[in-house]
Amino acid sequence: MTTSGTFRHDSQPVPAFRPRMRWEGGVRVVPLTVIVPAYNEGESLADTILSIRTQTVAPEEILVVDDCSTDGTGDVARRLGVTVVRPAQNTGSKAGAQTFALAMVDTKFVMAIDADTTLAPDAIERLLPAFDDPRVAAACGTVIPRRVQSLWERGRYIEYLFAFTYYKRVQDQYGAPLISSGCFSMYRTAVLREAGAWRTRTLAEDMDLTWTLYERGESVRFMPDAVCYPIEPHNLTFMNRQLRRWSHGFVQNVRLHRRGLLHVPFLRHAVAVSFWDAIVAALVYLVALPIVALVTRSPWLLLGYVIDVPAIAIPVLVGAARRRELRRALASLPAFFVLRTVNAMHFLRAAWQELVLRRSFTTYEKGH
Amino acid sequence: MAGAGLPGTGIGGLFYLIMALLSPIRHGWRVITRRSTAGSGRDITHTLLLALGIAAGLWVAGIVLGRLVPVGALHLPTAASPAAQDGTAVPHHNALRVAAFVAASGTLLAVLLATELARLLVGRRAGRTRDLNVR
Repeated sequence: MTTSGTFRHDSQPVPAFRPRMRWEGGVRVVPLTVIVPAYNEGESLADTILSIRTQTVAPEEILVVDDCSTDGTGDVARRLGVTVVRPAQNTGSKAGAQTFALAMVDTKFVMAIDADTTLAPDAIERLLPAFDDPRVAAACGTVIPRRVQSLWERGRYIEYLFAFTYYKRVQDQYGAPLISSGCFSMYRTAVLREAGAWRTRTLAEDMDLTWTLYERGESVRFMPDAVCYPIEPHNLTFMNRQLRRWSHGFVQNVRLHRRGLLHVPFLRHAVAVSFWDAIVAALVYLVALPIVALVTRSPWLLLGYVIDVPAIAIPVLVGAARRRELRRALASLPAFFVLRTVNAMHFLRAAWQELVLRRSFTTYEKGH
Repeated sequence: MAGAGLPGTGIGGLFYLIMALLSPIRHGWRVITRRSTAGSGRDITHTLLLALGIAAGLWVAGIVLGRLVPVGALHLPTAASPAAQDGTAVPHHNALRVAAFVAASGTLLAVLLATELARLLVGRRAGRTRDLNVR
């Protein structure tokens, strides 16, 4: 855990969680195993484990997968008294490490948390009510960057405030959050196993899993008051790695699930619109707009880059106001437009390579 | 991974705006027909107010731009603009033209219809046209 300000959240009453719970040392313990995949995460892992251990509702077990780290990640975890498992060789991806640990889980629920992510103290408690509905197989919460200093962290901060204040809530109202975020999601263990768990066939295993669940007729929920804080890429090198993985992962998942998704109400439209924007809007944004402005000698057309400022700013400022971070959001807003431009480049490149050149990018590059 | 696509740009913004505006109607219908609903009344009101705020914000931004940007600088079609009595086009009061909104809505509709068409074709081919019961 870093600053005290990170754990601000809405103080809404927490709905009751019906499944059986037991008490240990005055803390409610739920039938939940938390899996933390970790490869050379010695610096951030302790914060992650401490944030899990100080939850208002405790999991039965915390399982750290030391994926053959060379920086003493396993020792950090062991010192904090959690179970550490280590595969015979590096699994090559987060999905591989999580699936390795899933075989050892014997609780009704399982949660996946990234080793660079901390939880708000009541995150688990606020996620659990999603499972009051027996049809719900997975639930995810709000993601807010833990550090908001560099240009890239600020851009991501705005992107997340926007997505989790607005888009994700609309998706949930229509019964289909687009992704149950890989950095912080809870699942029914049995359903997760039946669905094939986290697979390595795409670079976005969380999207693959979420869409697989929908195709099987399962439900996924977004619980906005359950908050987690990952460390986001702080420079362009790390951001490029992450965006490359995400953009290729998105295209790979659209290709993989294109038939199955067509039978999922709302999601088929949300994905079609996202895919259209990822390609066509990116082309307009990066190519058409500057060319038309140049040809017509009308620099005013470049206002097109920021014409949607109100559409972005309003949800962002509402979300920031609830967290009492208005000043930080206002200062970070311009960074979002820089990040969006880089994002557009990655989407175009991914679509070109995956769909036109048929060259699938499969290397899992660690980059937060 | 938290989302996909480019938030704010293109037809996605319009799609979520319309979905947020329709959400209370859908919610009400599902309550009347006693079907389960996701999202509380508070959540639905929240997104409805956001959508109304966004629409109002874009409208105000259009007015501000319309006053700041010189007439004709955007080289956009003037068909939607009212014509003065002497036949010359008068300046727009709002830089966001009706034509642009119609074009975006038309594109969105085309993408949604294409998705539905694909669903029918794939469903017929696979012999399974029944929608999965998401909720």
